[in-house]
Formats: sequence, C-alpha cells, structure tokens
Amino acid sequence: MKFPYKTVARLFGIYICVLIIITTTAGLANGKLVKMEAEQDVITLQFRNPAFYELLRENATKENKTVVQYYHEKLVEAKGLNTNVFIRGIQLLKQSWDELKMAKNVRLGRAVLITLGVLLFSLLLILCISITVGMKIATKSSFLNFIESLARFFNGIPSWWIAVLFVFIFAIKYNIFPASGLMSMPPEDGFGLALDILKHLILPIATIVSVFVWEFIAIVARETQKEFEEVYIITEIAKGVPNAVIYWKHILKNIGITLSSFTAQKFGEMLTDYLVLDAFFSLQGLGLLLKNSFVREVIPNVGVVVSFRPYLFFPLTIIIATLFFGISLVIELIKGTLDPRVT
Amino acid sequence: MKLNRHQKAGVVILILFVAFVLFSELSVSKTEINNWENPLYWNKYPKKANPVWFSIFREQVPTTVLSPSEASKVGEEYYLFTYVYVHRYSRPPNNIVFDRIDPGYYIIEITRPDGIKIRIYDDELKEGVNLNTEPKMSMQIFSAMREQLNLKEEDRAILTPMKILFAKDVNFATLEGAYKIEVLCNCDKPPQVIVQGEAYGLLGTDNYGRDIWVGFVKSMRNTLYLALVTSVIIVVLGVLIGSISGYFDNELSKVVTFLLEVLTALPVLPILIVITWVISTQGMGEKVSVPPLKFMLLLAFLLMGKFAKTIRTITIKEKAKEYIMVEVSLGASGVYILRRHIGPVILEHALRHFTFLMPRIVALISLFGFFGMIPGTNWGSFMIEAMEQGALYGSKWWWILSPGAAMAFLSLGFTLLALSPSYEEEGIEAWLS
Repeated sequence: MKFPYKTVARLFGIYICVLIIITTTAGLANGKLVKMEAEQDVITLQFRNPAFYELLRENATKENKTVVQYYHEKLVEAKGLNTNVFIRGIQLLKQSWDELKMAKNVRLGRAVLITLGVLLFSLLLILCISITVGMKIATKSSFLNFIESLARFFNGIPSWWIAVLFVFIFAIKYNIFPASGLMSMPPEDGFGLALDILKHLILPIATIVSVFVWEFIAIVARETQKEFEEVYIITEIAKGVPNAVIYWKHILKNIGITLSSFTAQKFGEMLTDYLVLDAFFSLQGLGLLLKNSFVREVIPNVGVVVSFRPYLFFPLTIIIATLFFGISLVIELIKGTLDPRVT
Repeated sequence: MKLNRHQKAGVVILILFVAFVLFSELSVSKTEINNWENPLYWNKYPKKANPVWFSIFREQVPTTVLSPSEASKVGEEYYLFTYVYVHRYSRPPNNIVFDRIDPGYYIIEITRPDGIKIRIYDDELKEGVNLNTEPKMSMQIFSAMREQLNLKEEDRAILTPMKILFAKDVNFATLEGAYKIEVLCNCDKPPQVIVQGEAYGLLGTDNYGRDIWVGFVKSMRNTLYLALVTSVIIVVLGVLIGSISGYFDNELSKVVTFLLEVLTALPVLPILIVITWVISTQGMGEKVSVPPLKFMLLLAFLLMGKFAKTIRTITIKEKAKEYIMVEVSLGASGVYILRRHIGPVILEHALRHFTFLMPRIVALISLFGFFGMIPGTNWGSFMIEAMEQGALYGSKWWWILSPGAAMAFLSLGFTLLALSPSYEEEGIEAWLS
C-alpha cells in the first residue's frame, strides 16, 4: 500500500482552514467579551465611583464619543488586544489554554477518552450489526424498504429525545439501568468498576446505535445487492463456493470502501449527537464540558440569560475539530488498505 | 406526478399535521403566547396541574373559570356580581382566585350548598387575591366553620381554607353541590373568578402555573418556522453553489469545492453556539435575544456543505452526458445549459432532499436548543425547561412526549412521502448528503 500523500495533504488543508475559522470565531467572541465587560464596568462605575464616571464622561465628550465607547477603547489598550480579529482570536486561545491549565477541576484528557471510548464502541457496534443484518436482508426487498424508511424516520427525530424515552422506560419506570452518570458513587474496584461503567453506558450507547444503525444497515444491504449482480460473484456462486467465503472474501472487502466513506461522513453527525447525549447523561465527556462552558439560566421577569466561559469553550472546540480530523484521517488510511486505487 | 400508496399516506399525514398546527394556533390567545416567558402572568393558574384528559384514568378536579351568572346595580355606585360553581368531585379544589380586580371596595360572600353563608372579604382591594394566601379570607372561613366542623385552634395551621370551605362534616368529606359566590363592589367590571383544580389545559401546567400547551404551541410555531426557512435557504444556496461550481471547471470552482469540504468538516455545534452568542444581544441582567434571520442564514451556511457537494456531483455527471456536449458544441451558453437541461435534474433532487432536510432541521433545532442558543422558544428549549422542572423524574410524561411525538409524526409524513427516491436512482452521493 502506498501512503496516500494527496489525501492526507487535503485533509490537513481542511483541518488548517477549520482551525482558522475557529480562531477567527474566537477573535469575534473576544471582541464581544471586552465590549460586554466595558458596558458592565461603566454601569458599575456610575453607581460605585461617580467621580471617576464623571471624569470618563468629560473625556469621552471631548473626543465626541459615548462613555462606553471611550471606556471600551481604553480597556482594549489596557488589555493589549490587537485590532485584527484573527490575532485577537489567537490571544484569546492562548489565554484560554493558560486558564485551562490552572483549572484543576477540568479533566480534559479524561473527557476526550470517555468521548472517544463511547463513540468508537458505538460505531463498532453499529458496524457489526449493520454488516450482519445488512448482508442478511440484501435479498429481501420489502424488509430493506422498511429499514430505509426507519433510517429516514430516525433522521427527523433528535437523538436526545430517544434518550429521554430510554431513561423514562429503562431507568425510571423499570429501574433496570442507571439514568445518568459514568459510575456509581462511591466507585467500585476492579472488575466491578468495569461492569458498573458498562451498565452506565448501555443507555447512551443504545441511543446512538438506535438512531444511526438503520442507515448503515441500508447501505450495507444495497451495496451487497450490487455486489451480487457482479459477474465474478455469479461465477463464484456457480462454481459452488460457499456463501460464507463469498461474503467474507469479496463482498465485505468491497462494501468496506463505501462503508468507510459513509462512516467518515456520519462521524461528524454522531459526534454532534454524542455531545448532547453526553451532557444529558452526565458522562463527563466533552459534551458536558461544552454545556458547562455556556451557562443558561431562566430568570423570572428577565427571561433566558447566558453567561459564557471562553477558557473552556474554545479549547474544547479545537479538540472536537481535531477528533474529527483524526478519525477522518484514520478512515482514509483504512480505505487505502481496502482499495489500493484510493491511494 | 403519480403518487404511490406510501406517498399518499405521507401526504395525508402531512395534511393532518398542518391541520393540527392550525388548530393549535387557534386554541391559544396571542396574550398567552406573548406571556409564556413571563411567570408573573401565570400566577393565577394552578401550579403543577395535570392535563384535563387525565380524568379518564382517575378523578381530577378541573380548573374552572367562572363568568358572572347575574349582575345587578346596588345603589348609585355598587354592583353585585353572582357566580355559581357546581362541585361534583370527592376532593375539594385547590384554590379560588379573584383576578382582574378593578381597585375599589369589595365584599365577597360564598354560600355553600348546605346554605351556610360566609363573608370571606370586606375591605379595599387593589389587585388580585386568592383564598390560600390572603389571611383575612382564611380567617373568615375558619371562624365561620369552626362550630360546624368542630375545629380546634391548631387546625388553622394544618387544614387549608379550601378543605374547610368544602367540608361536609367533621370527617371532612367533600360537600358536593352548587356554591354561590357573590361579589359586591364599587367597580366598573366584574372580577374574574377562577376555581383552581388539580387539572388544567391539554398538557397541564408547570411549576410557575404556565399552561404547557401554550408553550408547546409557541415552540412548535418557532421550530417549524426556523426549520422551514432554513431548509429553503439550504436548498437554494446548495443548488446555486453546487451547480455553478460543478459546471464551470475553473480555479474558482476548485476553491469553492474545497471550502465546501471545510464546511462539512466544521464542528457545527460549537461554532453555531459561539457565533449565535456573538450575534446575540444581551445587556447586563437582560435576556439573550438572537435575530432569527441571521441565525437561519448562519445555520443554513454551516449545513449546506454536503448538499452543495451532492449537487456539484450530479451537475458534473449530467455535464458529461452526450446531449449536453452536443449542445455545448452547438454554442449553447453555460447558463442556458444549467437552466434548460441540468436545472430540472438537480431541482428534482433538491425537492426530494427537502423532504429529507425539513424533519432533519427540526430535529437539529431541538438538538441545538438543548444548549439554549436558538432564538425564541423552540422544542429544544421547551424540553430543557421540562427537564429543569423535573418532568422526567416527576413522571410528567405528557410534557416530555408531546414535542417528540409531533416530531415523529412530521418525520413519518416526510418519510412516507419521500420513500420513492431509492438508492439505485440516486447512488451513494445522495445517501451521503
């Protein structure tokens, strides 16, 4: 197998562009944060230090600006913020990493491991089910139509609503599985801990699988159908080669190429859904951290108020983009081994 | 266009869904919709009430809004309004609220079915009042019924005024029958009298007393509006960008194709959240407000990558066909070929894709709503509030199920309608989109 330099270079290019977009977004967010800080400071000064506020107002009037505009400019100068959005984004990212290192209660490595573990396990399960079921139903068109309908049906239902249903039935009504968390408290030891974690992960994994598996089954079944129409497969059947050998040696290898493309495409969607499920089930992965980086409160007489923690948010966004890039890269390499034409 | 059996079923489901949306819109008032996020407006409604249809499974005292059965003028300034409430349940109601009070002097009397008349209020009133929280009213009820029910001083702390008012005997069995409420006041309009029960509305009420059905309708309206417009924008942008970059093979189209790939590789959820926050306006202590049009354009831009890539692939395939090459050699312009030949093919795909996209965007909006950064009330924020108020663990399944069931119904309609575009016809690219 030749190393797919072109594909890897293209993926790197995409990744760099994604990083540029994230950095620019961080720059915009940084600008807004400073603006909000200026607005809040001016309101506070008005009441707590009227003399200083008066001085600010005089200076602002001299420069034909509002107090907030004047104070904002001074604040930007004092913080050493660049006027270029991209550079301002880099400044925020650097500051975020520094603050993140200081934050002792944020365990990023653990969150990444949990996210990857749950996602990859779910993906593996989906692939196993789809290959087994998809190959079986390839010749049963009415059943296949039904699976395709299910795939489209689940496309229109948010995964976390399925999770709510599962929790309602299996955790609250029948108390079979825990409703949330990664493990029981206090944690058990050794094998008991592994079993406990597995028990806690069953509902999140079942949710991901039940939402995405139908599309994978349909893809495998349709590709298997196509393979069965190929002359070399008809010849193999005519020669009396056992079905198991045909499936294993030819069909699985050929559908693997399509399946890996499909997996790469679906991984982004799965990751998005996982982030919400992670927050819902409090699995302590990237989703919960992402949710915690935005605090949404309903305040009577005011409505919904959102406070933002950039030091947590942007490193997480970069990690999510990197995960996506890493998985895409691995899938491209797998595709290369499956089909030398790809390389 | 001939529809098959499944597609006909899909059309029927979608028509039923539209009828349901219209019925829902008509079932709630504009004032209720506008005040959904204002808990003070819902003060007079029963809190944590079950839906009215719950009475099918077990007896529930419904909430009743009374209208005056009689109104007469007493003297020069005073009016007497008479309300009649007929109670036929084994449990008493939860509260009686006197709302929409015109400031003035009020005398309020309640005559029980057994003829006992209790003057519950005799003083100035400036705003709404209710039996459970107004000490004067509870004191009057307690004093009037003390002898009849053999009440002791400590019962004042144990028994609610409603339990005493509706008690038949010393065993506190509920006295069924017609309760007459008379309000004498120097006011211009009658107060609204609400007998709060255990049940209210189609979906009950939440912890603030808000009618959940109103929240459901408001969030459905917003979600469908956002999803519909966003889907249309995605289709329009995708068709334009995909077809142009697919037909004209130059450096610019290569750059556009690469940018589309970048779009598909972006982590949509965090980027959407942060840009939505950047474009939102929120002063100190003020609620977050997101401009819907900007949000829809942003969402469409972030999500159109895959669809535009598919359109691009279809355009390239069509362009390679012989009849197109003949047209080109005859001197047909690119715009003409796109409009005359390739356009119908991609438009057909776009239409099919729309049936796939619309329910997907509805699901995505409720998914993003989980993070609270979607403009207005939507099914995501509606579900978040349900969770925050303990609907899941409080077994208020109707609250949790309602938006999901509506989404499932919509998805089923589109699924059946779009059943025909098959894998053989559209290939892997369409499935990937």
